[in-house]
Amino acid sequence: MAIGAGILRVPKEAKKGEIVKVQMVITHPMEPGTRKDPQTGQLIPAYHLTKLELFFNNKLVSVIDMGGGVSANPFIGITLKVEESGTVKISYEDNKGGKWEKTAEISVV
Amino acid sequence: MKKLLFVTLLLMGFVWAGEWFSDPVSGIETAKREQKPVMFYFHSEHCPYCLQMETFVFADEKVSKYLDKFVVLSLSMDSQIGRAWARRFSVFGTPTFVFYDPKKDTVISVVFGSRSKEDFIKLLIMACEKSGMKKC
Amino acid sequence: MDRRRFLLLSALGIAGLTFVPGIFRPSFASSKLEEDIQKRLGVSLSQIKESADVKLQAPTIAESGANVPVSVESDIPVEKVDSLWIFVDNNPSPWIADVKFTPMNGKVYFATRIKMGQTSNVRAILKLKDGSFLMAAKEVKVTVGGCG
Repeated sequence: MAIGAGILRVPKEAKKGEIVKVQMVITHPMEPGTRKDPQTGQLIPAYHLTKLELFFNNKLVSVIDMGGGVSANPFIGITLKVEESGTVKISYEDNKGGKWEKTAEISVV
Repeated sequence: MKKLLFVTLLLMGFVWAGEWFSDPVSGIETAKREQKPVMFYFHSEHCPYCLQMETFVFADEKVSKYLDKFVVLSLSMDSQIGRAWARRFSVFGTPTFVFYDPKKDTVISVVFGSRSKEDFIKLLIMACEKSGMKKC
Repeated sequence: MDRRRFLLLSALGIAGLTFVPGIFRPSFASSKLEEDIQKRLGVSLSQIKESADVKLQAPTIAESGANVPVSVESDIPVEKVDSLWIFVDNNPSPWIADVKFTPMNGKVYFATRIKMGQTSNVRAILKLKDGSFLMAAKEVKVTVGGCG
């Protein structure tokens, strides 16, 4: 998968007021900058996600700041209280200017 | 000014004295010439224990100090040349460290598996002493 | 440049190096963990109390340390919580991540996978909106090993 590709998993439906789990896996090497390249012996420059924002209907729900201490292809789980139907959006970036977004819909039943 | 620059560069050369080769021929030549023992580092892609060594152990300041006394020959088990040398030393997995005396063409020790920083330093000290080589 | 000036500059250079943190650290200096916490939270580790209200889950034994699953939750109402911070004591850089919560999260919960360099405590610190801190710590043993 391409770097920055994300899988965003939320339940398709929820009851009003229900707290649901929002889970994601993002393809990214998360190089901390301290790893020696086995081929060359040189340090591989830091290359990792720095921030991930969670939105619901364009309102900011959470901000996660992270560094190279998070494992490669980061998995993140967090919760969202669903008061109305709408769009879950994650927007994330890395230290080299990479920026991506992913959305998913939840309906209140 | 030029003199200061020259001395600075010379000092930096001593700090970056660690040598890392992926070509066995030039690596062994260099080791012989510089009277350093060789540490073969057999690694493979996707092995988390190799990743552990590369991320947390090799670049550590204290480890580097001891590792600098060796010429490191880094070979991938996913390459033909890596597999050929692995066969020679009966290396079956990664990470495997083979400490080798390039002058006598003898193996000092073969160590399989990752190590903590502290244990790796002990390993390096032991191998260096056993080699009896000048730079150790 | 004459010899005296050169020697003076070299001496100043070396003296300058001793004050660069991380290269020459006096033995009474605080650990990297304490420094990180002070820097990011503005308080010293000794001021933060452990609390059973912060539930930290991490394996007792983790293979290789490349992918250690960690999850944190709390029954403290999320409206009272500002943020969650995760540190690994013995990593070269102890700070791993931090999460800012809002009431829209519904509850305090966060899960991820982290890298650990060696056996170490993992710490989850909650910063409450009233400025106080609560913490949970768990030791995770990182095994050595190899691939066949």
